[in-house]
Formats: sequence, structure tokens, C-alpha cells
Amino acid sequence: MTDAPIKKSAGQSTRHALRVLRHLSQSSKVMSVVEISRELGIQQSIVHRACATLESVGFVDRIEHSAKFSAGRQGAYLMAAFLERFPIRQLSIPFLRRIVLETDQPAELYLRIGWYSVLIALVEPSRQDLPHKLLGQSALLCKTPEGRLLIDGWSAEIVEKCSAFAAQQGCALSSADTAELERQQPPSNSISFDDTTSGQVSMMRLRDSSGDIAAVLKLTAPDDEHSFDRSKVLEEAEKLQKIVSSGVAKSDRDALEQAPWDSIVLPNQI
Amino acid sequence: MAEVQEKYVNKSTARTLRILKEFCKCDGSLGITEISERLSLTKNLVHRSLGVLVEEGLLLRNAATRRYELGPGTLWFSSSQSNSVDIKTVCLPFMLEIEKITGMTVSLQIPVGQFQIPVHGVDGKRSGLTRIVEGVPVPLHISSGSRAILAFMDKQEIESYIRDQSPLKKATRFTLTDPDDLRNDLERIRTEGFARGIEDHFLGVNAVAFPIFGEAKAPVGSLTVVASNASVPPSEVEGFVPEIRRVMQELDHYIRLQAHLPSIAV
Repeated sequence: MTDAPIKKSAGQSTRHALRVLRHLSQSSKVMSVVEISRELGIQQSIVHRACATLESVGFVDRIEHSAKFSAGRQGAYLMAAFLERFPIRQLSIPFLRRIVLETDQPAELYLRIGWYSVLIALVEPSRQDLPHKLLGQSALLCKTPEGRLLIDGWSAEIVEKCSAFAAQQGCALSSADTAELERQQPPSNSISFDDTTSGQVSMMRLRDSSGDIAAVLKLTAPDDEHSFDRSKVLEEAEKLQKIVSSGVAKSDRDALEQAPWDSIVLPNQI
Repeated sequence: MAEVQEKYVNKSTARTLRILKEFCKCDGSLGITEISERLSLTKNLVHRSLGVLVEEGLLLRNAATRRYELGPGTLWFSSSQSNSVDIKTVCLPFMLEIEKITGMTVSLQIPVGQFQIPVHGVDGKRSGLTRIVEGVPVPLHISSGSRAILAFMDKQEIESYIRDQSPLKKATRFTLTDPDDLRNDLERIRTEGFARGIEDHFLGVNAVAFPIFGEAKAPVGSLTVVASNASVPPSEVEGFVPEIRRVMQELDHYIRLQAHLPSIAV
């Protein structure tokens, strides 16, 4: 029984409901049934039922005294529970916290899931003047600097597949993307703020025990007037590197590693 | 939730989404049998729902163990974390669930210095009590809701509380005013994980209370389940403890997940 195939027609209403939920989550705004129906090209009666069902289990919130909906927190809980399964996330947080105390700028850790880079850990300073990032946000590997660093050193054939996947998702590489991809990445395996100006980003590859790039640490240089101890930041980054290379942080998620990369389709949030 | 137009709810989709939610409450993977037992569903129905969730990328099936775990499709929900929420919002669905199970009034209180303050309440259908008075401070040794917080505070903090508040105030003739009786009760609360309060705050009223823990394992509040003795006698209240404990464990898990989301402060 457990291995019997599922009929394609089964769960059609669930698929509609999940489309509505993904749309509401991604748009991050309050929407009416009519708006959702128009944007997704799904009949209003189907969207109406999907919203009522999603609301009944706490996945969407109805805005009081209106027929509008927004994504509930349940989705974010699921995402947080998914991220919790990566040991590197938990292990990196104390290091990121100490770095942020020094720099007063966000510290971010990215890793690869399928053909995407995903922001797996994020510590932000308490100041309010920074653009807000979202934990779990994903982007096609060849479309962002951290993504390109994650695939640094891959064979031309795999990079080719990576670009083909992006094209399939309607995000074909522009000439600027290709130039960036071909440009040699800085060889340094360490964080350096010496040659960066204020607010500039510095990235560090974190390699696992077999020497492969397991994650990318992305830091921002502090403002000119903010004094900080460079050696402390480097020390924390190097400690994190040691943890990653010891193999402790290696993902134990067998099922994710078995999943074909092409089957994983995520939003491209650049 | 009560206002959801039930007739429009698709039962099969709701069931599939409830199955998905179960993965928030567990620490890793779940098998078909486990899910069917947790939600009292047939294995066939569970299997059908899991198939759809796997196809949608929300779950992954581990071929070696035949168990299911959350998949990368959950990353589509990364934007829903931007709504900022507080402890009242996080606790409310769990308070409603406890009210549904027990029919008793459920109140949420938070510690403020050496007092606790009720900040939210859900009236129970059969509690026989009038609405909870929000915002009135109660000393941390009076009522089960207070002691569920006090018991899990730092030992030094407990001793300084006893020292500062001595002689301990009396609300009824059943209030624990002897420091040693109080210490013994706190010890019992730590062992059993919840506090009992029989007429120690108001005569004719009995309650049980569970602590709510924050990220640092320090108590950030408590939930009290309360009724008049006439409508729900203490022995019946005691009978609800295992079910309330289960709901509290779920709440604990959610608060832990909440702490992962940087934009949401508990």
C-alpha cells in the first residue's frame, strides 16, 4: 500500500490551495479572492473555497471585517522547522551573533539547495535603518554573488546545467550574469575588510571535510565611523570554518540529497 | 476561526494541511502509522495526502527509512514571517484549543518583577466564572498561574522573592504563606511540570497552570485553566492534565520555531 502510485487527479483542490498559499506568502500583502483569482488565473469559486480551507487550518488570516486574506504564520513555522534540520544553522548562530556585535551590520550564511542558494542563517543588528532580509529566501545560484561563490570550482558541464535550469525557470542568464560567472572569483578563503570600503560586502567560502564549498558566509563592512576589531571578526569566521571542516555541520538530510536538483523549484528572490 | 464558513471548507485539503502541520510539531521525520495515530486517520487517507505533499515539494520521502520529512518547498513561505507578532498572538490558538477540550476558562499571564499580570483570556463555556480581569498584578506565590512562573525562575530569584515579600500575603485561607510550604510546592511543580491552585486565590475556584518558556528556557509566562468548583470539580480538572500538557508541548515547539524567525519577537 505504502508504495502505490498516487493518481495525478487526486488532490486537485489541495494543489489549488497550495498555489493560493504560495502566492499570498510571496506577495506579502493582503489580497481579496477576486485579486488572487485574477493573478493566478483560477476560478473565483475555487479560490474562495481554497481560502476558507486554508483559514480553517490557520494557514491564512482573514482581515477583520473584510473579505481579504494574508498569509498566516503557519507557513513560516514550517519553513523554520525545515531550516532547523540543517545542523550548520544552529551551529553558526553564536558566531554570527558575535560578529554582528563587532560590526553592527548583518551576518548571513548561505547554502545550496538544488540549483538555489538559500539564506539559512541570519543575524541582524538591532538598528532599524537596514533593508530587511528574510530567512529562507532563495535565489538561482548563477544570479547572485553568493550563489556564484557556492558553485565556484564546479566543472563547466555542471555550470552549464545550472544555467539551463535558470533558463527553464524563465530566468535565462543575461550577458552580465555570464560575465560574472566567467570572472574568476577571489581566491581568498578568508574574510577581508582591509580592501573594502564602508558598507561593502565580504564573503568567505566555508569548506567541508572533503574540501567542497558547504556554505558561504556573507558579512558587511561597518560604517566608517563605527570602530570595530577586525581580528575578532576574523577569529569568529575562522572558528566557524573549523566547525564546518570538522564535518560536524554536514547535513544529515539523506532525503534532500537524494532528491533530483531539477525537481526543486523555489522562488527567485533577488 | 469560528467564523470560517464551514460549508466552503474542503475536507480532504484541510486534512492534508493538518498532516503537513504535524511536521512542525515533531523533531524530524514521521511515518505513515505515526501520523495516522496522531490524527486518528486511516493509513490510506494519510498515504494519499502525503503523496500530494511530496509532489508539491513540501515533504520528502526518505527511500531508505520510508519516513517523511519537511522539504525545500516550505521555503516558498519565507515571506510570511514578516508579520510581527507577540506572545498573545502566539498563544491564542492554543488557548482556544484548551478551552475546546476542557470547556474551562484559559488565561495568559506574564511575569513583571515580583508579580504576574493576566494579559489575555478565553472564557470557558462551562467554567462558571465571569471574565478574567486583565491587567491586575498578582504576587508570584498566589494562584497556580503565579507559581507556574515562580517555580521555574532562578533559585536565587525565588529566595529573594520570599525574602522581599515576607510575610507572604494571604488571598484566602488556602494561600500558601509559609515559606517552606511554598518551597515544597515549587519543587513539586518543577517535578510534575504544572501547578495546582485550589481556592488559594479565590474561594470556590480551582485551577491548573503550565509555564511557558522562552528561548533561554526562562519562564516568559503561564497559561491557567480555571473553573468554579461547582461547575468543574478539582478531580475533573486533574483529569484534563495529560491533554493540556500535550497542547502545551505543541505551544513550546511553536515558540521555539518562532525564535528562529528574526523578525518575530516573542
